[in-house]
Amino acid sequence: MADSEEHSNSPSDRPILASGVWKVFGKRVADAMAMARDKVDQSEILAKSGCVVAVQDATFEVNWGEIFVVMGLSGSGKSTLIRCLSRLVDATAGRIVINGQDLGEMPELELRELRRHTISMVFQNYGLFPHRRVIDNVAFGLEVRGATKEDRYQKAEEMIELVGLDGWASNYPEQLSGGMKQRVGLARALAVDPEILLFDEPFSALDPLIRRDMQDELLGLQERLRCTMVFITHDFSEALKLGDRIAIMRSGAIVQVGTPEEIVAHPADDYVRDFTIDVPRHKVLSAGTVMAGVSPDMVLEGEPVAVSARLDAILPRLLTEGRPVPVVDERGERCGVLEPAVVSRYLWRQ
Amino acid sequence: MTSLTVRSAGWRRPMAYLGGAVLLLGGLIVLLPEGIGAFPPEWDIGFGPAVNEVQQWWISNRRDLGVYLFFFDPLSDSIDWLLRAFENLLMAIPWYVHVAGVGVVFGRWLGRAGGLAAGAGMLYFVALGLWEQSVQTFSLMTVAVALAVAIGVPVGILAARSDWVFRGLRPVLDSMQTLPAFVYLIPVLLFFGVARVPSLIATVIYALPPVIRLTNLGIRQVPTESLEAGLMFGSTSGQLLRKVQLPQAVPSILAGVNQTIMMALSIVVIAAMIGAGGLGQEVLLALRHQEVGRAVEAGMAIVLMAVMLDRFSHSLVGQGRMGGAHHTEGLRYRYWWVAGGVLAALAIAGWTIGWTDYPTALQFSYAAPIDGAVDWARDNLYQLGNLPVGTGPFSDFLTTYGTRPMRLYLSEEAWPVVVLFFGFVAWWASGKKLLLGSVVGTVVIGLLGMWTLTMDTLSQTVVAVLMAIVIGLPLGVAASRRDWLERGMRPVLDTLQTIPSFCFLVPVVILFNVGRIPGIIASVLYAIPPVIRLTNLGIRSVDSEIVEASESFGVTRRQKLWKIQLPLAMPTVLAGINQTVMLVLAMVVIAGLVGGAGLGLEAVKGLARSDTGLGFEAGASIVILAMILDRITQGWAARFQPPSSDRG
Amino acid sequence: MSRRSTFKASLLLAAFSLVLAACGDDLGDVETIKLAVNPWDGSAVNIAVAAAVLEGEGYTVERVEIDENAQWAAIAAGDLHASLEVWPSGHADNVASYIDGGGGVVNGGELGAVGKIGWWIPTYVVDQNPAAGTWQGLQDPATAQVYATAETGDKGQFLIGDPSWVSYEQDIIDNLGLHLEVAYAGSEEALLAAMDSATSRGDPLLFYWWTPHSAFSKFDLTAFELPAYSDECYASGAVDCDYPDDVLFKIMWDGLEEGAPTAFTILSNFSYTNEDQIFMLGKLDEGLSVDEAAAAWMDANESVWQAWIPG
Ligand SMILES: Nc1ncnc2c1ncn2[C@@H]1O[C@H](COP(=O)(O)OP(=O)(O)OP(=O)(O)O)[C@@H](O)[C@H]1O
Ligand SMILES: [Mg+2]
Repeated sequence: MADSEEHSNSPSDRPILASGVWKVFGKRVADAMAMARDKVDQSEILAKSGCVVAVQDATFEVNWGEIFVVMGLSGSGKSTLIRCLSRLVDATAGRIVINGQDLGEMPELELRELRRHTISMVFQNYGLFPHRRVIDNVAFGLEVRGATKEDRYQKAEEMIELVGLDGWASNYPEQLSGGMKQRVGLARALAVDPEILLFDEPFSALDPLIRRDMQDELLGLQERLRCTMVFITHDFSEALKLGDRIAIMRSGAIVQVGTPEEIVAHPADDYVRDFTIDVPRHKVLSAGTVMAGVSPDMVLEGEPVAVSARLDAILPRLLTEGRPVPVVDERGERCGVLEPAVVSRYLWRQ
Repeated sequence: MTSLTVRSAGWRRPMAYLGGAVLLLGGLIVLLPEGIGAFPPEWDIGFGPAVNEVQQWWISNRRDLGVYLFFFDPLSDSIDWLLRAFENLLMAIPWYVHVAGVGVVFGRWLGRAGGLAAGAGMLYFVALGLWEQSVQTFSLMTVAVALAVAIGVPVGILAARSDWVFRGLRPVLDSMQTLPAFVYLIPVLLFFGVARVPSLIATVIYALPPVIRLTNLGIRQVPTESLEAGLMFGSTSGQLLRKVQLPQAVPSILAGVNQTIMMALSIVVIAAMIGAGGLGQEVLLALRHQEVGRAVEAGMAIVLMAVMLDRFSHSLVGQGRMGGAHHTEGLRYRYWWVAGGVLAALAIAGWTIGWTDYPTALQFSYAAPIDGAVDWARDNLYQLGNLPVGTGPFSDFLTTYGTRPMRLYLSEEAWPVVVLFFGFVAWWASGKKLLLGSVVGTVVIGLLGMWTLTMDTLSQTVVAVLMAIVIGLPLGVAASRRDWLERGMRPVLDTLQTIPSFCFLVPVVILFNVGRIPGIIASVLYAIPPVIRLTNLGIRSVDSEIVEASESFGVTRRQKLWKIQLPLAMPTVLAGINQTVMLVLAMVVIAGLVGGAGLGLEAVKGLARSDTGLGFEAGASIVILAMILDRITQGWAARFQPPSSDRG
Repeated sequence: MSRRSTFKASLLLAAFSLVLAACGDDLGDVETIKLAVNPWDGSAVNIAVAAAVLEGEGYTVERVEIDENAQWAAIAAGDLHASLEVWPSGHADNVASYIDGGGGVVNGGELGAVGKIGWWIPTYVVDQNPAAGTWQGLQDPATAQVYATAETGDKGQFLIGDPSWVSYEQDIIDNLGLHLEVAYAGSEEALLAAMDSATSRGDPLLFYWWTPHSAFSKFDLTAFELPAYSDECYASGAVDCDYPDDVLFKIMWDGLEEGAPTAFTILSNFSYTNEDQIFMLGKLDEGLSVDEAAAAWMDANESVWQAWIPG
C-alpha cells in the first residue's frame, strides 16, 4: 500500500501513529499473544488461555485533516482499538503516538490535559448524561476544564446552533430523538475545539434516513473545521462514503489499509472482498484504476476522460459508444484507455 | 417451543438427583457405625466465652479507654441532643399543622387525593391518642435514617470504587441483614449508654445495608459510555464522581434510602426493648397486658407511617429522576412559600390562643372490637365442637407429624448424614463451591455447640416455608387470574409485611398453643407475601405470545397452568420462595418469644441474661443457616433461568 | 420482662457502672430525683406513686427504664437514685457487693409487699384432680399426663416464660422425680396468653409465676404444692423444694441522704402491701395509665402515703 501515501505529511507530526498495538483481555497475556502470532483461532485462544485478543499488532497512521475509517464486523476489536487511542483502555503492547507524544508513557495529568484540549470522542449510544440538560451536556468538557459559566454557555449555545438544535438547550436527553441525541454528542465533542475527533460507531443506532443526514452533516463539518477524525463503523458503505482512508479489521488484526478505491479495486483477501461485493463499484472506481495500458501509436477516437473521473460518469458513454475511451492525466497527456471488457471485469468481478 | 422442552428436562433432572440423594443417604445410614448421633457436644469450641471475656475486659478498662471519652461519649451525647431537639421541635408544632403540612407536601407530589389520604393518615396518629409516640418513633427513625445515609453513602461510594472493598463488605452486609438485632443490643448498650441512643444505633446497624448496597449498585450501574464520556473530557476522578456517577446513581440511592426506612420501621418494637420508646413501646406495653387491640392500633400506626414514608420516598425518587422538569422554578417555589406561610400562620394562631391539643372528645379507638374478635376466635376456632378440627388440633397435628419428628430426626440422627445431605442439596442447587461452603458452614454450627438448636430451628423453618408455599402458591395463581383479587390483596400483603409481628404474638399463642407452632404461624404470616406476589408476577409476565401459542393448540386452563405458565414463571416463583425463606429466618427470634425454642430462644437468652457470647453464637448460627439456605434457593432459581445459563 | 436472674455480675451491670460513672453528679443539692423503672408493672406503679409524692414536695423526678441488673451499677454511681422493688432471691450477689461490700448502694428498707415465686396451676385443675396439684401426684406418670401436650409427648409440660427468669425447675423436676418436661414460652406475654387460652377452655396448665401480679386479678390460680422451702434445701445445691418468699426491698444511692434528705426519707418510708399494689395493677388492666392508677390509689389511701412525708 506504500504508493497510497500521496497526501502524506511528514511522519513526525502525524496526529496519530500506532505501531504494533496489542490489546489482550485476560490474565495469561503472553500465552495469548504467542498463540495469536501463530495464527491460532480466537475461540481456541479463549478456550486455552481464557484471554480475548481484541487488538492484534495494529500498525497504521492517520494524517492531518483526514477522516480515517476503521471498519470491521462486530467483535473485531474496533471499539477496543479506538479506546486504546484515547487510553480509555491501556494497550497491552505497542506504541501509540498522538501529536508526537507517546500516549503510553503519558502521566495522568498530561493525559487529562490531552483529553481536555486535543482529543474528543462521540459514542455509539451517545454517552449523554441523562441528569444534565442539553446545554450542560454540551458544556461539560468546558466545565471540567474550569471555564466560567458564562463562557461555557456561550460556547455551548454556538455548538448547539452548529448542529442545528437551537431551542432544545434546556431539554433533557431523554426528551430527544436518537438523531438529536447524537447531535448533542457531536456538539459536546466539538465544544472543546479538539484537533482529533474519535467516533465509535456514532450512527449505528440511527435509522437509515437520519443516518444519511448525519453523514452529510459530518462531511460538511469536516469541510469547515478540518480536524482529524477517526471514525468507526461496521457498515462498509458508510466507510466508503466518509473515509479518506479505510482500515479493515478482522479478529483484532488490521487486514488492509487504503483509500476506498484501492480497497474495492484490490481487496487484500476474501474477507475484504466479501465486503466489496455489494458495493456499487461505478461510484467508487475511477478511470485511473480500471484503465488498461496503451501504446502511443494506438488510435483512439472520442473525447478523453480524466484519470480521476468516476466510472459512473463515464459508463453511459462507454455503453452507448461501445468503443474504447482514452484517459488523460492531469497534464492532459494520454495515459491509458478504458476497454469495455476490462471495465466490465472490474465492475462485475471477473 | 424449544425452550419448553429444555425446561421440562430441567424438571426431570432434579428427580434423578433426589433419587440419588435418597440412595446415598440410605447407604450412609446403613454404613455408619452405631452410636453416631447429634454433633458431639464435647467438640463445642464456641467463641461465646471469648466474646464475653472481651466484653468483660472492655467493660473493666472502659474508664481508661480514650475512645469512650473522646469518641463514644461525645457521639452518644450529640446524637441524644439531636434526637431530643428534633423531637421537641416536632412536638412544639401543633398537630393540625403537621396534618396540613403533610397533606400539602403529598398533595403537591401525588395529587389532591394523595394529599387528602396523607392528611387522613396523619389524623390517625392523633385521633388514636398515639401522637406523642408517633412523633418519638418518627424522630428516632428520621435521625437513624439520616445517620444511615451519612454512613452508607460514603461507604457505598468506596465499595463502588474498589472491588476489594466491595468483596470485603459483602459478607458483612449479609450478616448485618441476617443477624438478629437481639444479638447486638447488649454490645450497643455497652458502647452507647442507656436509653434512646443505643436503640437508635441498633436501628442504624440493622437498616444500613440497603443504602450501602444501592449506592454501590447505583454507581456501578452508570453506563460505561457515560463514564468514558466523562473521562474523555478529562475529568478528574473527583469530577467524575460528583458530576457523572453520583447524579446518575441518585434514583438507586433513593431506592436504598426507601428500603432503609422500611427496615428501620421494621425494628421499631425490638428497639423499644432497649428503650426506644414510641410506638414500639406502646406495642410492648399493650402486649404486657394482653391488649391485642391496643397493640394493633399502635402496629397499624407503624404500618401507616411506613406506607406514607414509602410513598414519600418513592415520589422523591420520581422527583430525582425528573429533575423537576415540569415546573418552572418560580412557580415551584411560590407554592411552597404560600403553603409554608399558611402553615406558619396556623401554628402561630394555635400557640397564641393556646389550642394545641387534640380534643379528647374526638378520640377514637377500635381496640375493643379487635379484642372481641380475638376472644371470639379463642372460643370458637380453637376447636369446633368436639371435632378434631380447629386451630388447636391443627397445631397438635403439625407438632406430632411435622416439627417434632423432623426435629428429632435432624438433631438425633447421625450428624454426618445431615451435613452430607446439606452438602448434597447445595451441590445439586449450585455446584461444588456451595457444597464446600455448606459442609463447612454446618460443621461450624456444630463446633459452635449449636447443632441441636439449629436443627430445631431448621425443622421449623422447613415447615413454615412449606406452609407458605402451600398457601401462597395457589393464592398467587388465583391473583394472577383475577385483577380484583390482585388489587384487593395488595394492601393486605403490604400490611402483613410491615405490621410488627409482635401484634400477632398473643393471638397465635391463644389459638395454636404455646410452642413451636405459633412461631411458625407468625412466620408464615410475615413471610408469605413474596410467594404470593412473585407467583402472581411470574405468571403475569409470561410472554403472552407463548400463552397464545399454547392456546392455539387448545390446551385446557389446567394444562396451560401446569405446562406453560408455572414452568415459565418458575424463576420468579423461586425468587419469591428465596425471599420467603429469608423472612422466615428473620422471624426466628420472634418465634423464640412464643415458645419456638431453638436458636431464637437462645438469642433471646443472650439478651435477657446479658450473655452476649451466647447471643452471638446463636446469631452466627442463624447467619450461617440463612446464608446456606439463601444460596441454595438462589441456586435453584438460577437453574430455572433460561437454558443458556444452565450448564449443570 | 425479666424478674430475677441467676447470672451474677451481669455484664450489663459493670457496663453501666462505667457508662454512667463518666457523667456522675456532684454531691450538692439534688433536686432531680432519678428513679429506676424496671420492666414490670409493679415497678412502674411503685415509681409512679413515689414520683407523685416527691413532685408534691417540690422535686423534679426523672424515670429511667432500666434492666434490674443494670440498675445496681447506675445507682452505685449516682446516676440513678433509687429503685423500689428488688427481688432478693435474684440479687444475692448484688446485695453482697453493692450494699454489704460498701459499693455505693444502701438498703432502703422493705417495700412492704412480699413476692412469691412458685409453681402455679388454674384452680379448676386441682378441683377436678387434686393429685395434679401436688408434687407427689406428678411422680405418677399417669397424673403427669394431665399436663401433656403434643410437644412434650407422654410427659407433662411445665411452662416457663422468659429465659432470664432464674429457675430451678429442672433441678426440682429431676430431684423429685417428676414426669415433667420444661418448655419455654419465651416471654411473659406468651405465658399470659397461654394462661388465657387454657383457662378459657378449662385445660390444665402448670407454670412458673409469681405474686403480686395482675394476672391474679384475671385468673383464678392456685399454688402447686412443692416441698416447703428450707435454707438447707437451697444450700445443698440440689434444689428440691419450693422457692423462698421474696421480701421485696428498696435500694438507694448512698449519696441521696446527703443530697436530698427529704426525698431520702420519703423513699425510705415508702411502704405498702401486696393488696395496694394489686389494686393498681388491676387499674392498669382496666386500661388506666400508670400515673392514673397511682392517682386512683393515692386518692383512696391518702393516709398511707401522707405518713411517708417527714414532719
Ligand atoms: N473489557 C473487556 N473485557 C474482556 N473482553 C472484552 C472487553 N472489551 C471487549 N472485549 C472483547 O474484545 C473483542 C473486541 O470487542 P470490541 O468491542 O472492540 O469489538 P467491536 O469491533 O467494537 O464490536 P462492535 O461492533 O460489536 O462494537 C470482543 O470479543 C469483546 O468480547
Ligand atoms: Mg464497538
